[in-house]
Amino acid sequence: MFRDRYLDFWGIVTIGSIVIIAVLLIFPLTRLILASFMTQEGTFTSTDNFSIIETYIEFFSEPYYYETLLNSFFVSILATIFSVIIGVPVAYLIHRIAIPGKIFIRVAIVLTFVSPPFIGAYAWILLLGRNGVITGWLQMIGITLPSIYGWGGIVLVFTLQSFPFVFLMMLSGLRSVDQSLEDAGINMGRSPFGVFWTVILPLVIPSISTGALLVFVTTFSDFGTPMIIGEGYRVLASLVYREFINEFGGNPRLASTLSILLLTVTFGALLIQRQFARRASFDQETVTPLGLRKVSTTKMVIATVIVYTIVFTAFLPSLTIVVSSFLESRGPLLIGEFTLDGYLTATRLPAAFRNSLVLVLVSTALCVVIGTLMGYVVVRRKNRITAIIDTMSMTPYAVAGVVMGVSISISFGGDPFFLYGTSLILILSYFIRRLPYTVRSVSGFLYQMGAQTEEASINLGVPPGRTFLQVTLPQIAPAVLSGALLTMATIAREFSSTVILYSGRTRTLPVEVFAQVLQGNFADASVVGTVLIAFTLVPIVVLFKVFGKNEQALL
Amino acid sequence: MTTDSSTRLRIANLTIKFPGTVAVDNASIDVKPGEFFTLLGPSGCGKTTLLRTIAGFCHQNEGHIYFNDRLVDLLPAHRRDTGMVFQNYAVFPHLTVWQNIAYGLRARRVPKQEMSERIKEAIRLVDLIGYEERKPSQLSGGQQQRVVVARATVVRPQILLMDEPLANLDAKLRVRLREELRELQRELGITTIYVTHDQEEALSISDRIAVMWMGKVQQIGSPMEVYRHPVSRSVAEFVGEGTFFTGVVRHKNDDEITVELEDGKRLVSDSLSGLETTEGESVGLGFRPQDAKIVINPAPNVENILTGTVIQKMYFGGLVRYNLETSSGLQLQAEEYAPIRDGSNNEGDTISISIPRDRLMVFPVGEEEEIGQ
Repeated sequence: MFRDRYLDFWGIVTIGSIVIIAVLLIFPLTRLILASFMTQEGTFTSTDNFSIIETYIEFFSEPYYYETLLNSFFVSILATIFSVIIGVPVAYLIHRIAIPGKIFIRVAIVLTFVSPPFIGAYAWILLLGRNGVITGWLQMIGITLPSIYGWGGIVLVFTLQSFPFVFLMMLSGLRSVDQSLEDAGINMGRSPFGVFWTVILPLVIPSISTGALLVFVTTFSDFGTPMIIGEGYRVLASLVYREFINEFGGNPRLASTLSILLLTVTFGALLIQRQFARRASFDQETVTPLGLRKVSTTKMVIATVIVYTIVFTAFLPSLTIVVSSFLESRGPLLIGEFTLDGYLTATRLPAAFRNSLVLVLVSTALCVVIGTLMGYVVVRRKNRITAIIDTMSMTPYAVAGVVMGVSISISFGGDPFFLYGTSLILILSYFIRRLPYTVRSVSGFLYQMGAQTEEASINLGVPPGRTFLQVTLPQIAPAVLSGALLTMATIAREFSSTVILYSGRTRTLPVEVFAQVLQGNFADASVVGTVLIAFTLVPIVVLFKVFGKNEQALL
Repeated sequence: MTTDSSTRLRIANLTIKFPGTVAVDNASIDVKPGEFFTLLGPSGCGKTTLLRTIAGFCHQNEGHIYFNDRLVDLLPAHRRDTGMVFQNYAVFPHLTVWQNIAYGLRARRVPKQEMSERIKEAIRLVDLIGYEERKPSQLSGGQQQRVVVARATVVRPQILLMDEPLANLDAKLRVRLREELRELQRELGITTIYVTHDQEEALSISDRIAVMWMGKVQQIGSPMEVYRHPVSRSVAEFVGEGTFFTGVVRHKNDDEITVELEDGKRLVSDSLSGLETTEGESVGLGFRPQDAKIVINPAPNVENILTGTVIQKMYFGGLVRYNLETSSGLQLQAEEYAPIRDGSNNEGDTISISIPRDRLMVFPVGEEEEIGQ
């Protein structure tokens, strides 16, 4: 509502924000698009008259390439379907039935969120792989399981890793359905199950679709899992990685082309889902959310068994890693004797820990300070420029880590910035990728808060800048700090862009786990993985304990 | 702080536009020192926008605002020296009652000793003694609103601005608080601009009222003027209930007017208030339900008698409300106070009402739509 005809502090913030977005988001993505059209020499056409869309033609004509796109669709769509099939009923059962020990379910859900995406893959190899623990047991009694390697394993790991997205979205959807709607349905003679299908499900479909989108986008851009458990099953994201980080000299043009294709798919999925959710959603006024339902003991037992089976299965990978980190190892095999040797002999652990700590703290601090200022101008200084900042809050969903990594690398890695392998390039990448979260949480909070207390302060004679410090900041501090903790956790487990941008000096915990797994050094991987889980868990625990948040905050 | 000026606030030809709408259209208002002035109108009529523009939170496209004859158009909001009371309280949730009230005094660098005395006095005035160290979350809605009133008045602003300050309170508390507000305003002698959509509230506490509708100031006057002599049907309907219909002017002089209804019936009014119309023209007529007197067997030559069938009878305790329909189809509302007779005037009965000539409102027929509430 303020119309200032001069450049005040917030005017400077607005301009600074636009510069940051232009330099760290628009410029790299433009470079990425251009790079997909340019030859190695930096021209748009090569001497032998190839088309500028040469690499695109190559991609769609060579089965070696386009198969990866089909494979990516195949495993991601399957994982999305299975996540919905698992996540929706589990959320409904947990929300409506007094299942005992809900705290364990929360812990398990949180743990699946705090471990980096590929950790599930290697944990399942430890369990069901050729030398896996469960495989061994089953062989002793003469049962041979189908191979865990290949697309089946990828879908298994993807599903167990990502169904919490659907689960959490479903829960938040159920919270906005009013109990009176169910009562009305039953009052008109429908069975509770009938009411679920005809009233409750249609109302939570938009929430489920958001969860499904998150599953699809994250699995589509994940390459750690397919590389570890896929064994030759190639997906688009892993092809981006291989083409960019190639031992025999990468192919930035092809990697850029592949990144653009990946970006197109994830962005397209986002737009389709938004469109769908907008058409399918209803304004609801919730006075009393759906409550617990009384069910017979038999039904209660069945529900408990179903929920615990699924949650335990999802929780198993994290448990496996933590337990195996305390076991003695011989080569790739783990032997069942307790030891702390793993922690003492993991030579690269201290450096990776230090790197992660520094990068996480610096990037989070940047996100919080700049994100808070940006969030403020988005809400309180509405104009065309701040609308652009607002739109930017979609980017973390749309731009996958691997795409961000490639675009930042080709933009700032070489001439004239030469940032490749520095801590700075990692910080820039983490910062721009996670900045929108702070902007969104601050702006969301400010919308809710309304401008009246700030106006009251100005009305009482305190100028806008001091009003922000004295009235706005104290009120948004809880939102800012809880956002900061969440940012710390997500940056700590960040893998896809790090693995594109790191060097020997800037190896982080997730990269270290990945390197150890690829080298077959499962013992060290478990040790570093456990440290990583603990590292990520700290801010989450603080978030839950100090700020009273629950797992909904993780979305 | 106070200068001896005949107008504390002057709004001159103010127009405020938002994309696609004109929120305030050429409004001119003068407010005298110490006056309790109310902007009354339905939601969306521009009254809050006008108030926020006085505070400096919105800016006009045309026209000027003067405080004590000093132009304040370019004065930023934090230097306008107005005290504002918001509908949603806007009490600072992170500060105690004391700190909330001290907030504006600190900005004005009032010396410690004086500050403490003024806060104590303000807390006494709003009846919050003992609550000084409470946080807003420990206060009820009414108490929070008292904090905000104290916070806005303790700085002794040139003008106190109140934006529907009682709208979020329950009915009983609203009535009590508005009496307190009026008393406090008198005690402090502070010029007050009060925004509300509640006509009863406006009538009961204001010195003068500006009735606004669709961005325009329709009428400015004392509560009785706007209630008894509304300049238009829309003002009449917004300010109170009533029966409204039209007729044609048959006879008019300086003191009275005779209007013929569709069925040939003639009504006389001497409530003219500068109405300009000539014989043969259409005019609007109206009366308030409490002004219609029920008469039994009226003599044939008594003026302003309307007869109808009782369609609906509603008992409110202190009064009975009748909805009548005349033979020509006109719907009338009449009220009977302190009803003592029982079992008479039932639905289906035919009764007559008489409207005193000074209570029959006459206004020009405009092209305005009904505004309702």
